[in-house]
Amino acid sequence: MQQSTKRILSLLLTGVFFVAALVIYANLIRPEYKEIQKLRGSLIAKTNLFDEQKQIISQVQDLLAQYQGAAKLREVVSLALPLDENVSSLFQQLFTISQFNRVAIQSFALRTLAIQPSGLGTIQMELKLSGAYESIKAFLQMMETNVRVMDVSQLAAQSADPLKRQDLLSYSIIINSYYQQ
Amino acid sequence: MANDFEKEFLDPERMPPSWPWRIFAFSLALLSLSIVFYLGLRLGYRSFLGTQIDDKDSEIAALAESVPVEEQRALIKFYSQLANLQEILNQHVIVAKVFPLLEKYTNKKVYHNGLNLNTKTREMVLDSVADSYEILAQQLEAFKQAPEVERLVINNSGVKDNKINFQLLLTLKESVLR
Repeated sequence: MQQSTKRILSLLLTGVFFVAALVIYANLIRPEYKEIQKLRGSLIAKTNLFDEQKQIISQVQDLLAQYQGAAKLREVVSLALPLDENVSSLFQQLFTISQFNRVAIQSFALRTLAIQPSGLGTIQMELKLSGAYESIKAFLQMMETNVRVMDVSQLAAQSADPLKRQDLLSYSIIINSYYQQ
Repeated sequence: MANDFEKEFLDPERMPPSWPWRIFAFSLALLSLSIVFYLGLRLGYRSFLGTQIDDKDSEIAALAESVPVEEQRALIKFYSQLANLQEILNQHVIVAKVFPLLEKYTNKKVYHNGLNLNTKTREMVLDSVADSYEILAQQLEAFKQAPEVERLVINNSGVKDNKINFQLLLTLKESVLR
């Protein structure tokens, strides 16, 4: 092979190599680099997530330790806002308060309202009562400061006999009490 | 023409002896480098990143499992119970506070036959009886001056059995029932 042919061949090969290097860069390296950037981004995001989760889990573990140590608090909170409807206990409490204050329960109706998204359930009770003014006043005071939370939503009172102006009153009360679902 | 080209570029005497080989070697090195770089990215760095991501996923999953699900649920329930209780207590109304208010502002010559209270609207309707219109005026003035009363409206009044029957609508201030 002549020297000049060799030179032409080497020049041609040089050109081919340059072009091949360019093709590899454009078609393989660049897309691969983009993919790697994505993976790096994903790794950074997961590392951050892991760090955050680690921090959260550590806080949750602290809270769990506190929660397990606060049995008495849980007990008190569950008395004020029980973990189920516990209607029998509710009625028992109302009955005891009424007896203690010498108020007669004439009728008792109950219905459960829709549970709120926070898991808060409401029991609505309608009571018809009769008793002396001071007795009803004491009944309401005791009921409203009872450990299980009760809110009076409506109160209607009437004199049992308006003409005689007796102290005996009849009351209709709508009370809301709550529970945690 | 061809002879001119040969003379200019391919004549060994006129050309520097080494440059075509240097360019050839450079292009070959560039090509080799790009292949090695690509393979390094594809087979080395990419799989390294893939392994790292898988490891992180497993670590995250292991972290989530480090707190038992039952305990997580119990804790969430307790906290929503506390939050709900706080909300309930913030909105807790004490209706019993209405009675001292009535005792304080009711005229001695007035008695109430009926009471209707809505705690949501804080509106209280009183069906009452006064001895005379003068007493009724005094009663209205007493409720009007009461700082606990936001609004006072007399719905109706009339004479019956020599007594003045009237109905009042009182809107109580929010602080009264708290």
